[in-house]
Amino acid sequence: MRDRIDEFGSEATVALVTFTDPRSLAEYQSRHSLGFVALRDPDRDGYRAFGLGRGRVARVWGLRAAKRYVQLIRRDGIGGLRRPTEDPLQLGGDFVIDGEGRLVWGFWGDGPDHRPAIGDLIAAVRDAAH
Amino acid sequence: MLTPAPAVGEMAPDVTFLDASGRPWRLSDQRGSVVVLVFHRHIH
Repeated sequence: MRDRIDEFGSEATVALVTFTDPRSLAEYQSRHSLGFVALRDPDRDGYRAFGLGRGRVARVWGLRAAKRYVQLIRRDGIGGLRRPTEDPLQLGGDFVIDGEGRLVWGFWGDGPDHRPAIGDLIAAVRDAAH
Repeated sequence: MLTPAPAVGEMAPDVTFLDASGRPWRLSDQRGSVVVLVFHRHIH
């Protein structure tokens, strides 16, 4: 998305939301010349508000990875897999909100890396801006 | 508990996030411009 950020046009504010820690976010911003806003949602209230839950292990990682997941839980307990700033099962999504605050387009991923086609997102932004 | 997803055409939830400096960034403060929210599980 970084490569096509200009195509969103000057009327749109693009915000990337993660639940990473402040230091990682600052490092990310310093590494990249961002054409968008990078934000944190440490308690994931925004994720929940937009209906973004957590995926199932089998759907997200497949059977082989699920077996590994179980092995790790047996060895380290669930705490070893769920650091506060990293959750491999968290689902993502993309949303376009118009100038009046109305949700005009949404994509709810069914896996953590399931993303919309960038062209669809750009088209939705252009529709919302006109 | 997971909130039901907002439907397209409804008002978006008024969520507040934090920028890299820890300052609040509120969705309703962006009225007047189109906003794209991209939720990821991590940053690369």
